[in-house]
Formats: sequence, structure tokens, C-alpha cells
Amino acid sequence: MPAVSPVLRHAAEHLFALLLVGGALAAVVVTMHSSPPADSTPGAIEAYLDIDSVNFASPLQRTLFREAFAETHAMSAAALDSVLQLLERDRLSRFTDPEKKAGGARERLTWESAARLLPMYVSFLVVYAIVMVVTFLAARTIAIARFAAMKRGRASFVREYFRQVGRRGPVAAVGRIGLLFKAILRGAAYGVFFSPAYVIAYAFRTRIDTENLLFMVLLGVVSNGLLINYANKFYGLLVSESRKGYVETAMVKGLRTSYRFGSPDGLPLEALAAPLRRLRGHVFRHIYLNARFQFILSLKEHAAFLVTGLVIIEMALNIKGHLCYTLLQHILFREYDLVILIVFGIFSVVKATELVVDIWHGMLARRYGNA
Amino acid sequence: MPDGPDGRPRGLSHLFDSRKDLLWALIWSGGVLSLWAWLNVALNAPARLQVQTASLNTALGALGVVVLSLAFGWATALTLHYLDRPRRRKLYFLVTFLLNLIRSVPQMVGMLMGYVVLTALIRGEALGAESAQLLAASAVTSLFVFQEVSDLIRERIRHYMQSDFVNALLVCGVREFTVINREILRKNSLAHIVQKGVAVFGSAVFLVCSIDFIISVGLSTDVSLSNFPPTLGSMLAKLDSKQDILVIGTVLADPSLIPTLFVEHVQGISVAFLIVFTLLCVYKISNGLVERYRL
Repeated sequence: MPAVSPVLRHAAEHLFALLLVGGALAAVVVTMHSSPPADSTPGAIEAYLDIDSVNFASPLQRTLFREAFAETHAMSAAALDSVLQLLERDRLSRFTDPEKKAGGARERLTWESAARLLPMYVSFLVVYAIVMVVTFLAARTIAIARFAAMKRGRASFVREYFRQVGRRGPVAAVGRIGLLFKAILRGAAYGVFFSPAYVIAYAFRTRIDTENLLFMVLLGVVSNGLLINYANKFYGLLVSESRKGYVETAMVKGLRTSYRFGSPDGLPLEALAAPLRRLRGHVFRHIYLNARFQFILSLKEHAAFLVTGLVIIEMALNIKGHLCYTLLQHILFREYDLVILIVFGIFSVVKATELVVDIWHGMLARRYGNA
Repeated sequence: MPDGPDGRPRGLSHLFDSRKDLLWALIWSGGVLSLWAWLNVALNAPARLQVQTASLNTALGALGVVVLSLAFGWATALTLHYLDRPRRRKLYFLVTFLLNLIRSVPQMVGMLMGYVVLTALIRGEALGAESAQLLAASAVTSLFVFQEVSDLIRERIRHYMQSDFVNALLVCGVREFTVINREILRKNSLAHIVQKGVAVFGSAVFLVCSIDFIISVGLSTDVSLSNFPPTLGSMLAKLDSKQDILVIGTVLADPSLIPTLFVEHVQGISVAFLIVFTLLCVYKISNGLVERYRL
């Protein structure tokens, strides 16, 4: 029997997972729709609610009721307190529970409600796709720049500053100030990269409109540690590839090894944006190709993390009309059938990304002869 | 500063070179101590106590996530290792399939669903004690993080299983379970596991703060999860802290107001600083470990 190709196996697994989860969630929704709605008023207090002469909203009347009831009924003080607590909770729920408000019946999953979610879902997909592509490109650029700097033996700005502390003269002093300035800038950049989205968004809320798509994309890329972790992963793969034996063989064969940007035997500046252009004859081309081959698989993990970032952004900023804000609202009002639909939509995005990544990886594996 | 006998620089410079993990752990400790000292000067006692409690709860919650992730990851990796045999192939595929399903659930969505369940348990008075709530929240978070650990342990076991010394030990009659746990994991993978633990701690701080922030901001009626122990995330979601953060925008436009950040808006700024500074330092410590042990 011929072996099934890994790409086909992965594709079948992803599709089966989608069908299985979709089927299970659909069954839950059908069960929810077929069961009668539960009465949210506890049975233990129904009798007390019928007493018209007592206004339980008034603390005075509540106290009078408690004392009169304790005199006439054989009920412990603790039991009486819990009844009063239930009555108070029920009274408050008339202000907060949408089912008890006039015209505030729970929204249920219908074709209309699903159609209302569709534009939000499309908008979510667009933001997700843009953030995914931009993050991949930016992470690649940062990783290559960092790798080249490491290969050139460049020390950190702070370390360079300490090295120059002993030097005298105005030129050295200016150099030190420049290094400190660069270190502070880098520190500020790290501060932004590691800030959760809500910290950045609230910090800028008074100055700019934080509810537009462009800001969301920007926040999705730079915040939550996504970009820096992505870049770090790529950098780690570049470093581990550069330690492998084939790199030394390539160097012996006379491939270029300088990592100075712009020099004739070094890396062209375009390598930061398009690493495969004008890199023939440089050992980095091989390091990059092999590192990228492995990095592609980590896009699957990053898909779930990226969605987490977008969920945080939409929910924390309370941006009305967006998918995750709506998800939070449906959780709030316990409209779980709609919650299930949105969660399945988000799950499908991750699964679709995994499928695409597996196909891309499979194609590259076949090209490189690793399949 | 003079170089050492081996030609390598000594002192601070040496620390920059070879012990970046330690250096950043020192930086983190110094930063947190300085902040604590400043809070003693600039923040009133009740607010300071809130910040301290929230920091402690966040740290404990994240530590709980690390411990549980290590435990779940270890158990999962060993289960998969023993199932990965021709006779147990079907079971192996089933477990892998289920694990991949969990992997495809974005952490925040999974945690949100988990917290809905926890809220129901709290309302039903099944989870009363604060420590039990923290542990349950950590367990929910670790469900969506532990696969990083299990992947690492699986990879280490696979790597060493091909080596001669493992075969030699097995031939000598040492049990496979002992070989895996003592020889492979404890003696040859401890640095990898510690580094992963540090990375998981960073993820946990981020996730715990984010979920608590979202819940505190978004779910504010009777399904509020604000009964959970306070963390830095829920602390940041409080109105006064949010106002402190909002001031940053004004300060950026008018830098002369910068000093007010450290005197009048200490609570929100210090909470945000603690989150960001901890995430940065944990990242640096984790990278330092990778460089030091060439992981």
C-alpha cells in the first residue's frame, strides 16, 4: 500500500478536527435550543415575592419583615438571612439581567443573528491576515539584523558604554552620550514590544482614535510581545543553523561570509527586506533557507497566539461592533449559543492557518527533497 | 577593569558576556525593590497594600501555572512516548489528535471559557477559598500552555533515545522509566526545562494579567468575575489605575508633566511598570539561559 503523503495526512486531520468540533458544538446548540428556558427566579423566594405589602427595596421594610417573620415562624436567623439575600439578589437582577428587563429578551442563534456576525467575522479575518503577514516580515527583518550584528561581534549599547568609560576627551564623551541615547531608545522600544495591548491603547487613548482598524493592526503587530517573540524564534533558528557542519563546508568552498551591510563581500541592505535577493554566493543564503524551513512550522503556534492578541485588543478596548467585543457581550448575557458560534469561527481561523502552513511546509519539503 | 588570566574581562563586563540570565535577574530584583521603596514614599498605605497583594497573587498564580505545566507536560510527554509503539498506534493518534485540538484553541478564548466555568463554581460556593481559586485559575491557564513543556520533553527523549548510552543502560537492565527521568531529563535536560519554565512563567504573567483585565473591564454585572483574587491585571482595570495610564498620552504631548507620573499617578503607572518590566526581564533571563547553555 503506498504511503500517504504527510501533507494529505495533515489536511485530513485538520478537516476531521473541524468537522468533529463543529458537529459537537452543533449538538450542544441544538440541545440548548430544544430545552425550555430555565426560570431564573429561585423557587425558595417565590412565595415572599407575592407579598404585596412589603417593599423589599426599602431597608426599613426589609428589617421590619425580618423581625416580624422571626417572631411568627420557626426559622433560624441564618436561614432567614439567606432568604433575604436571595430576595435582594433577585431585586438587583431585575436591573441587570436582560431577560428581566422590558424588551431585553436574550438573543438566540438564528440566521439573522448569524448574518449580523458575518461582517464582524470578515473584519476580524482581514485584521488577522494583515497582522500575520506584517509580523512575519517584520520578525524576519529583526532576526536577520540581529543575527548579522551578532556575527559582526557588535556588543550592546550599555556594554559599549561601560567599555568607553575610561576614555577621556570630548569625542569620547559625545560618543558615550550617543550610546546612552541609543540604549534609552532601545529600552523604550522594548517597553512597547512587551507592553500588553491594553496598556499601550489606554496610554494613547486621549491623543488618538484607538478604535480604527489601522491602530488595531499596529497594536496587533507591536504589542503583547508577539513581534519580539516571533523575531527571537527566527533568530534562534538562524543561530542554530549557523553552527551546523554544512556552514563550515560552504565557507571552505569560498562562499562569502562577511556580515557587514553594504560592503561588496557582505550582505546587501535589501537582505533585510528580501533575504533571497542578491545573496548568491553568500553563506547566509543557505542558513536563511534552512532556518525559514523550520520557522514556517512555528507559524502554527503563532496563529493561536496572534488570535489571543487580537482577542485581548478587541475585548480590552471595548470596541463596539467587533467580533471579540460581541463575544464578551454574549458571555455577559449568557447567550451561549452565539458564544459557541463565535468560538467555532475563531477556532476555524487557527485550523485554516495550520492547514495552509502544513501545505506550504510540505511543498518546500518536496522541493528540498526532505519529504 | 583589568582582564582575567584567561584574557576574558572580569566583573560587570564578564556578567554582560556570559551570565546574562543572572544579570537580568539582578536587574529585575533591583527594579522591583526600587519600585517598592518608591511606593512606600509616594503611595498611601491601603493602595500600596493592594498593589502588593495583586503582585503577590500574580506571581503565585504564574508560579502555579509553571508547576502545573511542568507536571502536565511531563505526564503527557511520557504518555506519548509509551504510546508511540506499533501495537498502540491507534491510541497514540487519538491522544495526539486531542492534544492538537487543544493547541488550536487560542489561549485567551480557552481561558475565557474556563473562567466562565470557574465563575459558576464560585457562585455555587464550590470554590470558596482564595488559594483554591488561584490554583483553579492556574490550572485553567496551564491547560493552554503545558504543550510547550511536553513538546520539549518529547524532543529531549527522542534525541537521547538514539544515543548509545541509553541503549547501554537499557541493556544493563535499567528500567526505561528510570533512564528517561534520571539520565535524560534530570542529568541532561535540566537547563532546557528550567529555561522552558522561565518562558512559561512569562507567558503565564501575560495571560493571567490579560484575562483578569478583560474580565474586570468587560464583565461588570452579576456575572462579574471580580470575586477572583486581585491580580495586576484586575488592578490595572480599576478606574483610578486606568486614569493613571490615560495620563501618559497627555504627558507625551506635554513633557513638563512627566514628574506628575511619579507622584500623582503612582498606582496605575507602577502596576503597568510591574507587568511590562517583569515580561521584559523574564524574556531576557530566558534568552540568557539559552546563550549560557547553548540550548
